[in-house]
Amino acid sequence: MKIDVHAHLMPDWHESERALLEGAERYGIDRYYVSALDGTVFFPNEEQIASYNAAMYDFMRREPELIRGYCYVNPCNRDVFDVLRRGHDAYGMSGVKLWVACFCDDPRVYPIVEYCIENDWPILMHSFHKAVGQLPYETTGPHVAALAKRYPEAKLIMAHLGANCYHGIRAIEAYPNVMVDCSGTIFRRDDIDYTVERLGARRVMLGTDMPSPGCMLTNYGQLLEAELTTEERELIAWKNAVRIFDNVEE
Amino acid sequence: MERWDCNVLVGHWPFRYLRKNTLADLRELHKAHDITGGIIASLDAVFYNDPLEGDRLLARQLAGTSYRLAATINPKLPALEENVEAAVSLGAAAVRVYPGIHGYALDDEEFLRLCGLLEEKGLPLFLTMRMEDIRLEYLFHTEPVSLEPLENVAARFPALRIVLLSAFNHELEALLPWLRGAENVFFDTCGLKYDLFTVERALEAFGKEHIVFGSQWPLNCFTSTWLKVEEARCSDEERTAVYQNFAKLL
Repeated sequence: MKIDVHAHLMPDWHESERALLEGAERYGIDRYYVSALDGTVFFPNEEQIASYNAAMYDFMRREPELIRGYCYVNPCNRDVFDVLRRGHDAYGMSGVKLWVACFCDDPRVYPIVEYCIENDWPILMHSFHKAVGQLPYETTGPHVAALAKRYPEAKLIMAHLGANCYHGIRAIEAYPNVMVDCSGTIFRRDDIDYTVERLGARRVMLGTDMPSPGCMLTNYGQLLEAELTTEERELIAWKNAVRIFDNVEE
Repeated sequence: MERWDCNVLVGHWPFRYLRKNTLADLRELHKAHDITGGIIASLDAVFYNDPLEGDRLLARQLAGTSYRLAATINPKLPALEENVEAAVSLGAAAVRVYPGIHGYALDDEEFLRLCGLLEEKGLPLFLTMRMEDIRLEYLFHTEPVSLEPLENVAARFPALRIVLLSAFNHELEALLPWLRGAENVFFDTCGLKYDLFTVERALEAFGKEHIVFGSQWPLNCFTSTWLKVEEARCSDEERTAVYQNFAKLL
């Protein structure tokens, strides 16, 4: 079984829907957790956020077995709680997605985290440390660590292993409420081994960043090649996701 | 049936610990995936002030195996002709260059002199676009390799087989349409990492004649690239060509 905890809808929505569905059929993906966003819009306004989440809900309705949605939030907007309540109460979404509008430990994120704790929602945070091209408010591992320290009850997911895992994983290692996903186009041979050695397999989840720029085969290939037991591989491929999102221990 | 991996290395990488990095590790991995041989370069030689020191050590290891040496040459170092002769005497199947690390462009005088020498000797040129994703660099910055001069290089040395290693899909697409008609230019598979179904898209765009299987193990995860070739929706003839085009290089 495979559960991808980090996929996207991007404009053209229908094209990315088609790609995700084809990916599921070809690669045996049993469930996706998806956020709808526009990769060219770093600071979406209220109208944009509303349209992205509406597109996400539309896909969820049509593919209820395969697709679960994240509620994408820009913490800098004034209607954050309207967005959260609509995502939770009306849309039945499964968690919150934060991207690059502000760092994840910005005080404007705190009320979002508190809402998520009350509603048992995990928070997926784009986290990407780069040697070149770092965006002005792009979260990295230390930001995630600061948030985790402040909110030990929160279910936090650091995306992409923090990109450079040697930077991201060390930052959050001490915070057991931080899970990580391995999504993205970086596919170093040792990244999963290193991450499991530092965190343990129960804190790692399979993600892909599909349909763009990522591919299931990239990250699943890493899972297959890493020196793991069958149980560790299964934890990462799907069991941890079921525990985090459904509160079921398989 | 022979199936080769034309982009593999053994040795040490100074920026991180490689859990699997020996010829024995590589042979075990390749055997498990029906890869029967390959063209291997020395990771150590990349940073040696005299790369030949690393090549000699690796050549000794490869004796009697189905693997061939890709000798490392930095054309900015003295004794270029002697280094090419040394590569020949070591039985190298190719010469591998690292312009982004060693600091030169593809219209550099010494690089062009190397191209001429390799054309005379009938040795292919393996041109490394990148060893790791530039976003992950630690301590040491490499320059991006511009492929703008490549068309002129390929035309000037029509008998020189040039293999682009770890070129991204969009970098290759920028070389259309001339690359499709360039009989002496090839590219490997490990850079085809952005978005979905990249191998079949490359086959469609460039034809099966230009693509060689290359993983850039152990820096990259071999299985990620292997899965993309194995799972590509293409004909058996096309897939076989990817694994067997290495023969055109020898």
